Amino acid sequence: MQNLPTTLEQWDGYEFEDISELVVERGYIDHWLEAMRDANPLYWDEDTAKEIADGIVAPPAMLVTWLLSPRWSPRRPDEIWDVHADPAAGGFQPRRVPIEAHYRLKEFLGLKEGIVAGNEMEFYTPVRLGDRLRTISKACEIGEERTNRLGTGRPWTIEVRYLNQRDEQVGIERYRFFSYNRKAES
Amino acid sequence: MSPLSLRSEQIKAGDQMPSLAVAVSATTVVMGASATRDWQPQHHDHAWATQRAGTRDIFLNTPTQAGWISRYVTDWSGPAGRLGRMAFRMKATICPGDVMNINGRVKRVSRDESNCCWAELEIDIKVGETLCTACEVAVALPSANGADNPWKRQGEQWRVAELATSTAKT
Repeated sequence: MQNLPTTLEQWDGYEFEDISELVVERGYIDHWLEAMRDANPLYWDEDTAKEIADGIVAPPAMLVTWLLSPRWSPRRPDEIWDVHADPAAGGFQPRRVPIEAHYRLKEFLGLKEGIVAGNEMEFYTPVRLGDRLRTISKACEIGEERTNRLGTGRPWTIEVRYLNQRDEQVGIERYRFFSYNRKAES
Repeated sequence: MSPLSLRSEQIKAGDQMPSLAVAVSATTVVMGASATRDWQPQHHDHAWATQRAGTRDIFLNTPTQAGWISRYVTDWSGPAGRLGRMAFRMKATICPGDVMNINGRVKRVSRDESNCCWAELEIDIKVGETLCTACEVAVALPSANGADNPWKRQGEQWRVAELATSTAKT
């Protein structure tokens, strides 16, 4: 367990690093294509992909798919992450990759709710079959406390950098959060 | 180079992209959640969504919407089009029984310092008259003579980091 920051100033830019348990492979890409009915040949047709992009690439928007924490893994068979198993009642609470920084900062500030107002993705070196991605994520642009119709809390940005096994940057995601406590119920 | 792809000379600001209508079912929502490995219950558990989250039903998660928009863009551009940036604002949920209508237009066509041609697109997903998601996309397109294939660009030739700044100026 990392020693987490103890002041808000230390949280700004504090980094979490994680590596995917999944290796980029065709089976999961095919499942994605099935779900979005995406026929782009770069993702499945070797000949066209080779001609245009030097081989099969993973759909760029799949970035987060490769990193999300598994609900169960043979590497840690006792850790069953089921949302119906309430952590407060002894259920397993995983490291929530790739935005663990968001949850930890929320907990640090005692804020219960969080919404994403927007997010953005930038795509760099293409993700290819056999890649194993890792992330470096941090909270930044932590704003002043404010009160709006949702309640009282703070805005911040979670930035997630995705790198491949050669340390080439493959993408960046930024999530714009507002985390808050609801107004007291009357 | 594949003849199927749109070339930079073939588009201009103001061009409308073809519409895509998708009838959303519970299968669409849950398969999207599965394909993105997102097992938060509001994307597959009706009782949780309505009783705990307070939404009208289970709803499409953001990565799935990113997937549909990515598909929409490359259906239009062809496979040589290479996505550089996507930015989303989520306004309303998309649930089983909805028909999501995806529409887009070319906002700007430009060349960066490395002479890469960028089409900046404004895309929205509506259900009826309700705007559910607004998205800005930057996609790099090949040139007519086939000399420039965006997929061959790397390092200083792939200037994605400048896109957000450039979009903010317009």
